[in-house]
Formats: sequence, C-alpha cells, structure tokens
Amino acid sequence: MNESEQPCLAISRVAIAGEMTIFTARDWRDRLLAAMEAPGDVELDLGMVSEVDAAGIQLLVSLALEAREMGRALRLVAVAERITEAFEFCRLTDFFREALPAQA
Amino acid sequence: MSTNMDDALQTFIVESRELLQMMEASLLEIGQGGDDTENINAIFRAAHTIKGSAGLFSLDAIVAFTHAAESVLDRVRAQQIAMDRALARLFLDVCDQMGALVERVASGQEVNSALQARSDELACQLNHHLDGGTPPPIDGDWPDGVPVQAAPAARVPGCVTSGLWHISLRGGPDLLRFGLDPLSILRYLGTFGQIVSLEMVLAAIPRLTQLDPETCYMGFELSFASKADAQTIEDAFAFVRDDCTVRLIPPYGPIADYRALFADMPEDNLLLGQMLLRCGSLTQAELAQALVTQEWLAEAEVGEFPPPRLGEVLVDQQLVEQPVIDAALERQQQARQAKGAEVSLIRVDAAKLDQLINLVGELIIAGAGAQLAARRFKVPALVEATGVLSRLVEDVRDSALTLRMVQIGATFNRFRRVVRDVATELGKDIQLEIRGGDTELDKTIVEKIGDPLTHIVRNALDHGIESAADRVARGKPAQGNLTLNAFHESGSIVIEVSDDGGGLKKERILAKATERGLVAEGQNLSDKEIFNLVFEPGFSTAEQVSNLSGRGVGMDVVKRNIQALRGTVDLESREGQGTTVRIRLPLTLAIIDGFLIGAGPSSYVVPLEQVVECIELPLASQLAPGASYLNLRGEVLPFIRLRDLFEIPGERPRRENVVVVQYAGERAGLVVDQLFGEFQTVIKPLGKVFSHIRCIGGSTILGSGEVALILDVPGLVRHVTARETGLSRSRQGSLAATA
Repeated sequence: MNESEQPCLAISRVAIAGEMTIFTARDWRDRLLAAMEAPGDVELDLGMVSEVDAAGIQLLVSLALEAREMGRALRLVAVAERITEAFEFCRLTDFFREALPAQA
Repeated sequence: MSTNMDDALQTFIVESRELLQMMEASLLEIGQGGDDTENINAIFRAAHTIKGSAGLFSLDAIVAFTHAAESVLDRVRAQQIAMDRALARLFLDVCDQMGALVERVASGQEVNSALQARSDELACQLNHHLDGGTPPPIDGDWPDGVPVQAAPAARVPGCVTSGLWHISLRGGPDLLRFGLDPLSILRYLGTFGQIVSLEMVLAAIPRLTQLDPETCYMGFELSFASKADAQTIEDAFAFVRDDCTVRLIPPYGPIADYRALFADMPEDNLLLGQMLLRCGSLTQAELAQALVTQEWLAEAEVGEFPPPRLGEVLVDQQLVEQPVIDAALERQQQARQAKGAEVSLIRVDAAKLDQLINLVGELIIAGAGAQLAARRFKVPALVEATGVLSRLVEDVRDSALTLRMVQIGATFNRFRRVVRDVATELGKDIQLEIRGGDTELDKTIVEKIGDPLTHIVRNALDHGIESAADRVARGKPAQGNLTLNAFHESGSIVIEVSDDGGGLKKERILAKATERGLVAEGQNLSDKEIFNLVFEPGFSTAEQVSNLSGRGVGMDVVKRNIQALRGTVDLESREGQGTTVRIRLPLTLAIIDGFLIGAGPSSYVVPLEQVVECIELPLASQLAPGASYLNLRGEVLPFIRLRDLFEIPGERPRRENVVVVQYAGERAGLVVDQLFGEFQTVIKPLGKVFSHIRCIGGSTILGSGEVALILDVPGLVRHVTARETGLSRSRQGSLAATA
C-alpha cells in the first residue's frame, strides 16, 4: 500500500495502490478525506488497485457522493481491471460515468 | 480486522473437515444393511454445506467439484440412481479429493494442476452416473442461454408475471466487519443461475465525511434466473442471514410478497419501486397494485378489525407456493436443531483451554505455598481454611483437565476406512472390531497418536494377517480380524491393536537381530525381549518389501513418537495365533498427583499412580552385602538408591525408606531419605538442553519456591530391572554423569 498526494493548481490527486478492501478501507478513507480538505477537483488514480471488495466499492460511492455534494468534480484517471469488473458487476458504471476516463 | 476473515476461513476449514469425516462415516455405513436413506441425506447435506460455504470464500475449485458430486447425490436422493457399493467407493474418492482441496486451502496454496486434474477426472466419473452423461451446468454456464422458466399452467391472480426470482438484500451494519463480502455471495449465486439484473441500493450510503468505512450501508435488489429450488438459493445466504436482511420472492411470486418488501425496507417506496421496475421484477401495473393494497391494508389496520396474520392471508388466497412454505418450515426446524446443538456443545479455542490449565497449574503451586505457610504458623483456622481451599483447587484441576479429554472413538473410527482400503489393496478379507471407543484421553495425545497407530495397524494388516487361502489352510476362519481396544489402567490409558494373524517368528527375529549386531551371540533373551527387538532402529523381518510397510523404517519411529508422549509400547505375540501391540500413555500431559520424596537436600516427585507402597529399608545387616535387591514378602525386589543414582553427597541417614514403584507389570524400589507424602504436581517440561537425561521426566515448583525433579518411573524401572537381569547394554553409565 503506498500513496502520494500532490496538491497543485486546485487539483488534489490521490493514488490508491494495493488492496481496497475492508482491511484497508479506514486508511483509504482518511487519505481521501485529507484530499477533500484541499480545494479543487479530485483526481483518483485506481490503476494500481490489486483487489476490491464491497467495502472498497462503498468507499468510492461515498467519495462520489461527497464530491457531488460539494460541487467538485471527481475524476478517475486510471482504473484497474478489478475495479472495472466490480463496477460492471454492481451496475455502477453509469453511476461513475462522469468520473470514468472517456474510453472506459 | 484482518483476523476476522482468517477466523471465518479457519471455521470453514474446521467445519469442512468435520463434515468430510461425517460424510466418510456415512459412506462406509452404506450397504452395511441399515437404512441408507439417512446416510445418503447426511452425505448430501455435508457436500451441500461445504459447497455453500466454499462459495462465500470464492473457492471456485471446491465449488465446481462439489457441485458435480452434489448433482449425483441429488439424483440418489430422488431415487433415480441407486447408491451401490461401487458408487459409494467413487464417493469415498470424491470425499478424499474434497479433503485434499480443503487442505490445500488450509495450507494457503492455490490448487495445482495435478489436483485439478484429479478433480476433473472424478467429476467426469461422476457425470457418467448422470443421465446421458452430460455435465450439469456450472458457473452459470447455461447451455441454452438464459433458462426460460416454464410458465405455470394458469396465471394465479395476485401474482406477478415475472418468471425470475427476486432477491432483496440489505447488509446489516456489521456485515463487512465480520469479514463477509456481499459481492462474493452474489457471485456465488452465479454458480447456479444467472443474475439477470442488479440494482445496488446506494440511498443509505452517507457522504465521505459521515462514512464509517467499515460499516455496511449497501443493499442489492436483483432478479435471478435459476432452476435451483428455494432451499438452494436460501442456503447461499446461510452465512450472512444473521447480519443481513434477505428476502426471496419466487418466480411468479405473489404481489403480497412485494408489498411486504415495501413495508420492510427502509427506502422510500417510490425509489424502491423504480428499482424493482428496472430489475424487471414488477411491471408498472403490478407496482401500482402493490403500493395501493399496502395503503389499503394500512388503513384496515387502523380500523377495529384485528389485522389478519400475513400467513393466513397468503394461505387463504393460495398465494404462497408450497415449496416456499416447506423451505421456511425446514429452515425453522434447522434453526431449532442448531440451537439444541449449541446448548450441548461449545467450540472453544484450544489455546484458551491451555491457558486455563496453565492458570490452574499456577493456582496449585500458589495453594501449596499458602498451605505450607499456614502449617508453619500453626494457626488451626488457617490450616483448615487452606485445607478446604486445596481440596477445591483439586476439583477445579480435575474438571479443567476433563475439558481437554476427548473420546478415542473418533480416532478409532478413522481406521474403518484404513482397514477397508488396505484390505482391498492386499486382496484380504479383514474385519475391524472396535472396543472401548468411549475411553477418554487428552486431546493433544489423541492428535499425536494417530500416526503411530496407523503404522501399527498397517503393519498388522500387511504382515500380521495372512491371506485367506493361508488362513483356511491353517484351520482359521477365512476372514481376518483386527481389534482396536482402549481402556484405563492405573492412571494410564492402554491402547491395544490385536490381530489374529500368523504372529511373530521368534527365530527369525533373533537371527536378524544377531545379524544386525543388536544381540550378542549366545545371549539369552526372554520372549518379550525378543519381540520388542522389532522396535529397534532399522529392523524389519519382512521378506518382501510391500507397498505398505516393511522398509525397515517405522516401528522405531513409532516407539520414539510414543515415548515423546511419555508413553511406552510393547508387543506380545503367539506364533500362529496373532500379535498384540500395546501402547500405554499417560492420561494427561499437564498436571499429575505426585508423591514427594527427599534424598539429601533435594526433593523428587514420583507420579502417585505408580507408587505401590512404601516400606522401611531393612538395616544393612539384614541385607546381603552389596546387594541391590531385597525380599519383599517372598518376591525379589531390585532397588536403587537415589543418592547413588544422582550422586548426592553426604552421609546416608540411619533409617532409609523404600518407595515401591510399578510400571507395566515390573516393580522396583527407590531408596530415599524422607517421605513427604502426596503433592499436586504441575509438570514443567525440561528444556531441550536436558532432553538426553534419563530417569527424569520433568520438573515442578514446590510451594516454597524450590524446584523438584519428577522421576521418570518407566525409565527408572527399566534401568533397575535391566541392571538386575544383566541386560543394561547401553543404558548404564550414562546416568550418573548426566544427573
């Protein structure tokens, strides 16, 4: 699990790598909350996620709701295969339509 | 957090092992003349439960394989296929394979290709038993696309038009915390059907700032196409039923069910209604009907009529399908049974028990200290109080130890399979008789005795019992007999493995031993000593090395394993009539009743069960000069002075005492200075450094804080009697130096 934050020009960017499951959900929530503290749009790099479960999906939904509530754009700049598959299984692709990269 | 998932998996592994054992036992009973229906049901239930649980952990290899087995079992249950011995045999292999897959999971490894190949091979054999040999659908792979559910003959009024199951799932707050992933459960559904549409209920998920990331806020509404019955689908949720709200509505289910769904679910009716529409479970008209009647019902409830019970309404209107009612009843029944079982049995972590026993051990030591202090101050009330206390502590100790006791029957029963398999392999007809299965002994010992016992049993089957032709030629019944017996005897448990085979041939053993240099030429050995030579390293008299045994390794390993448990093994045999291997083991490894004795400044403990009596040593003038034996009521009793054995310096006291100890029928005397009496002894094992010391089995701590050594009576008796019979070959000399 590693993470990097680079606030620049009103974009906070968080990269999530490794497990995005119930075991790590609390850690990632804290990272994401920290990112939401900074102003501007949020870019989330999910390219390196190795595993995702219901808790991980719930976290992403919650983040999207938060961003929507605050009128900030959420962009998923890279999406690992696991995440795409889970979105499709949960029929959430539409929910994340705006945030997902164009060709995905 | 991460331990929860591990715990759940661990539970799955433990339960699977138990279920597989039950399955095996039931399989072995098939064709034995009883009513097989119950056995077949038990086998089916075991396979079914394992499949269901494996699905939760996404153990696809197990699910797919077990599914193949279950399909055949289903036919057997429906009496479309007969469960004959051949099929039972195949299922024994299936059972083994399931065990192998589970063990693979337990070891944390992925299924390798060899294992998978075996799975495929067995699945293929299983499929031959199904009509036409076509494999049943697995992994939601429907040969003809989405199954079209046959429409019921007549459309029942008040029911929906959708031919799909509707499943409604709301995760309880702790669902995720318990390591359960709703996504895996839904994916598992995909193994026996197809999720046609799915709506994730997001309404309850709070925004990030208010989110507890470990609480589950999610829900799912899905329509599901499956040929499976209500029970199968319900079982998919068996693991999460306590932590979730799950509602199942069968195909063409009554609108009343949907009405109840609206009433039960926390979401806004319109929102939920939209979801059901999107799922295709309800049409617009049906949705309207469901919502309207609900309001109507709500009004009726306000009125003076008592609201009709839902069940009555449904039955009156013939809205509920019989299978659904049956499933619900069966589930209630199961819940009741499960409750009953919970009352009588609690699964406890063995480590917790060990901790309890350790604490009781400390309590005994502390209690002894208190009693010692009380005696020193000579306050009668205090002495009495500590006396009562120590009696209670003794009771606590006894009941704590019985917690660890398990019956040996389960271990014995495993051998039914071994005997059957080995006998078939060798082409012999052998009957296994089990006696004393309810004899209890320490769980640790039970676990460790399995391997040595297997070895002895295999030896008996392979070399002990002759082939049927030989037996008939010798005038014995063609069917061989192997007996496993267990009983308690003076503080130990005795396990006997007896066969009615050819017995050991003395001359051959002796010749072999002489050839190997284990016995000197011309040495005179008793029968017992000769037989026990087979426990020497590298000894095997088998003329032919067979698959099973006879490679010259084994019996010495058996002996070592048993000695490691503070037990002994010996062998009795009559040529032409059979052999009995007798294993003696201590009842427990933790706490014993001891007898405290003193020699010089040191204290020693002898296990009380092994003390026969105490006598005063006759004065030196009454003994033969330099003799190390005395006359005990006409019997020769060899003795040894602990002072000599442990090289304790100082003068001998004027009067010395003899503690007569007995082990496995042999007696010996220990000459000591003082007898202190009974003493509760908590065994502290000696470290590895001291493992080569003979005659000492461990240590304990006295109430005064001093250390006392626990004497290893079997070792001592062997030492003393061997010296007396002049056969102590290798043992002498090494003692004094190490003590």
